[in-house]
Amino acid sequence: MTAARLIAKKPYEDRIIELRRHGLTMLKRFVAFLVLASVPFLIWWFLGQNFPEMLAGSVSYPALVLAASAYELGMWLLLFTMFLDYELDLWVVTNDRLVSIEQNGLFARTVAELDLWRVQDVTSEVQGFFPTFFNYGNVYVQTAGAVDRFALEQVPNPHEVRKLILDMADIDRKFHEKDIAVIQKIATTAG
Amino acid sequence: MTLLLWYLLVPYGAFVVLFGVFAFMDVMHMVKFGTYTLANYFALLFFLVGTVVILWSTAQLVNRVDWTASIGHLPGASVFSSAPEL
Repeated sequence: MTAARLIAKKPYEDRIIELRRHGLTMLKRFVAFLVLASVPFLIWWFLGQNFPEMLAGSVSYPALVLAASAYELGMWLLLFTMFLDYELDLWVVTNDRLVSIEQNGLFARTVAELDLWRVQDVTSEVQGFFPTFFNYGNVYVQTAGAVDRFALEQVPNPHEVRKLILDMADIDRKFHEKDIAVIQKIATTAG
Repeated sequence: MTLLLWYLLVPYGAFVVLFGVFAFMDVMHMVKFGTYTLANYFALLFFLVGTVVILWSTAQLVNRVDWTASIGHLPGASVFSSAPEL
């Protein structure tokens, strides 16, 4: 597993769960691809029914074939890129951290992590017809830091994931009581 | 200037080159960052086979086309070519 290379495991750290987007999100993209990829065939059929001379023309025929081929190649590449986007997004919960690895298109990859003991608020949401029926949705993790909240997008069983993160954060806090005491002291002095 | 049918292959060829560059980058991303699972190997194989099928089908559909045929003339070009020499 190459994702492990991105997450330098600490000696006391155990991987609790790895999360990806729900498989149905990829299936929806695949159905969209099938619809879009069928367009040249529908146009071909329409031309064959209404303008057969276009499919027999010495110029129009090769021009249409090349245009359809380029379109299908583009769609094929788009499908594979969408699969990569799905495949390379990963969230890992350990007993110490939450690591987010997100691929945004071909040229942007973000790896971020937060300490579980800093977690302040975790929200899970399931919105829409398919997410409700197939139980997937978003989980948002808010920390005390200045970093924006973490978003685990379209993961299966979001409510269970929220509970798991909160439980792991509670456990981890016990190992960081000194750190928490220092932070509270600083906050009191500053306030 | 006479326009020949094979000129249509130039933009198509450019598109195929662009496709190749992006496909190569996709494959590199998958090898470098993806997980080594059987499903991913099949996905990669599926993509490569699909690409070959599209290109092969295209070649089969146009293999009888006479690419040297003329498809027209550029009027502007004939104006320049018929300009009197000084």
